[in-house]
Amino acid sequence: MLAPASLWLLAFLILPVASLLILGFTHRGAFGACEWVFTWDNFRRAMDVKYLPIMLRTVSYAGTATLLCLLLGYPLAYFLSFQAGKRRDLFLVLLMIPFWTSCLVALYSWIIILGREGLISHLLMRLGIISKPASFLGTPAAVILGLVYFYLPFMVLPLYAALEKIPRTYVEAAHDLGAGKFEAFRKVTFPLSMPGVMAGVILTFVPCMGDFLSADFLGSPRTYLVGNLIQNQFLMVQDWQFGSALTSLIVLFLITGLWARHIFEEQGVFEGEGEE
Amino acid sequence: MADASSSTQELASKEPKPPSAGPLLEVSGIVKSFGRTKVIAGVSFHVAAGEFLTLLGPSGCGKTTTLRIIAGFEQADKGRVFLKGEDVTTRPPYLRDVHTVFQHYALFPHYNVFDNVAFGLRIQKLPKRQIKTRVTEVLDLVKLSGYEKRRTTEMSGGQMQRIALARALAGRPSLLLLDEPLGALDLKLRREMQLELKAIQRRLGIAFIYVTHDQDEAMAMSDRIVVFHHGRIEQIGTPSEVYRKPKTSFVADFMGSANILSGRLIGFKDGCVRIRLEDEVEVEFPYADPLPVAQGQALCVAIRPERISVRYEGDLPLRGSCVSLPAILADTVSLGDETQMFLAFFKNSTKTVLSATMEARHQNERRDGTPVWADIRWRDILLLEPEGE
Ligand SMILES: Nc1ncnc2c1ncn2[C@@H]1O[C@H](COP(=O)(O)OP(=O)(O)OP(=O)(O)O)[C@@H](O)[C@H]1O
Ligand SMILES: [Mg+2]
Repeated sequence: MLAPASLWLLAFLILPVASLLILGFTHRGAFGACEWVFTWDNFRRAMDVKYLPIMLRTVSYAGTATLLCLLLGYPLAYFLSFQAGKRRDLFLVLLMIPFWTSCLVALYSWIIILGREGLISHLLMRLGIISKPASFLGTPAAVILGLVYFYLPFMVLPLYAALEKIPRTYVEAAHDLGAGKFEAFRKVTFPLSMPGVMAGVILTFVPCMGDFLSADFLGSPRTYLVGNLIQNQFLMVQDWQFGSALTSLIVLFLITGLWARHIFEEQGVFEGEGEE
Repeated sequence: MADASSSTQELASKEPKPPSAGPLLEVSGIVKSFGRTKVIAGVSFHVAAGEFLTLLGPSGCGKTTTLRIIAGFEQADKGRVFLKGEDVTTRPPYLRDVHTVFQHYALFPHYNVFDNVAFGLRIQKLPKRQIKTRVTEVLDLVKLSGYEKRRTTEMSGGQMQRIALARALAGRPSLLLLDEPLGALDLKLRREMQLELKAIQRRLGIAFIYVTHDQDEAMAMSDRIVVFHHGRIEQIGTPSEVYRKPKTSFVADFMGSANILSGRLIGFKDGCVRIRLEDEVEVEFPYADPLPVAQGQALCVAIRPERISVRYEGDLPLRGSCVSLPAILADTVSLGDETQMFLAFFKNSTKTVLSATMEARHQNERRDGTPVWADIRWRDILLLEPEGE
């Protein structure tokens, strides 16, 4: 069992990341050709302060989207964990719809909804909040909305899996000892769902960090993200070396984050109430 | 309050009225169905303060469901639950002064031992100092002092059992519900814990409702036993009552096994009953207790295996007053220092085989197919209502 799994990892994770890393240390020749000369140049460029605003923007958008996914996803997953049989399957299918619709179809739909003639504009006019048609495209909110739309299932599924696994008797035991509904949730259900929260946050935050479609379609130059920067290096500028260096930095950033979390977990930072 | 509910109670059960002080808990006329299956079909009983009451019955007879209705996790379709005279039928579990020791402990895995035991006390918002003394006290009671900081997932079954007990006792409920608390422990630990539980219950004076399907456990621990069968109560009584004076053949067989023979009461004169057994043999013997059926009707005759004494041809019959039945030794099974013998009676019916135990000293005399006599003392013959439904 282990051997095929490690082969899989090697082929689809280690090799691509390693080749990116290697590419990042090579020199870009004329017309984007690769010269096999070792250089730090690409990484030095990638760490230039002029890219710092893009980095910070990406982290803040990804963070906001992840938080929104958590706030929206937790009640949804909680609700789902009480469903059974056909009903639950139906809800899970509904939840997966963003996965199944083509990205482009979904994005164009959002463009229509958010645009000047769109649903939101109409709705706000009706409610008298705005007086003339307005477009929401190009705003940070639109980009974050796109991220939330695409990555919500990544949050809900691990949350659902964690919540569904919590035995009902734990909640019953809490009620039995006098805890009302809210207290039983706060002291038992929520702490026990922490592994799901962690998994959901990671699974949402990581792809959000690399996303470029949302900013491409719903954003503007003001909402340019690292994903767009990297995409441009590969597809427009043909500077694969610089793109690889940027990508490697992002991967390094994420790995550091995960490792730090792991260390904290080992030390029991996320556990118990710590009350004496 | 005994007056107010007496009419419904009489309808629902044949139990005597609770003492005028009022029982701690009264369950009256509980009916509960899951989907189409009726799991509890009219159950009433009461628990006095400080009493150890056991719900005993085979698997699936509705013991857990009854307990869950008392705790408030399940709502009865019909019937009421009174706690200290108050109707708590529709109250949620967190507003009932009742704690539960769950069958699989249900210890919170994200808390250590101290936090588990302190859970209910923190909900009650007791001052920290008091929580600490209470937890120490109750951990001491279950012999787990010094384990406060341990994770519950790192403890043995017996220890988890004690923590679950400590957690339920810490809030000092007036009634504790225990659902097969010793079910997952090995036999030796079980016996130890039985004694300990009983001692703790006596010491604290808390009423226990204890669920088990082990009749030895029930006999050893209970003040009174409620025998369940198919969602109904077959009998309520002290351990010796249900053992010696079972009301139904189910109780007779469940409380320490019994041979159930079909019979017909064909005569009753001068304190002597005349019974035809298995449509074959007629026996006559004095019987002092009230008869379960009228003359001429079918009944059940229950005889406990350990009360049958097997006699070989030529042995002296049992001294005193007994009934002797001819039989064939059909099979013997050795059970440590005892031998279980299966006796075939009654030529016409192949189904009836009485089992009896024989002491080791007779071991070498056994040979299958030997004709023997089975002597049964008059007072060991139990006459019961015929099996219903
Ligand atoms: N939530 C439920 N939904 C459907 N049926 C149930 C439910 N809970 C219990 N039952 C059924 O009710 C019957 C009684 O169950 P209960 O758990 O009360 O039995 P028990 O006497 O505690 O048995 P055991 O000794 O095996 O624990 C069983 O047939 C069980 O299948
Ligand atoms: Mg049960």
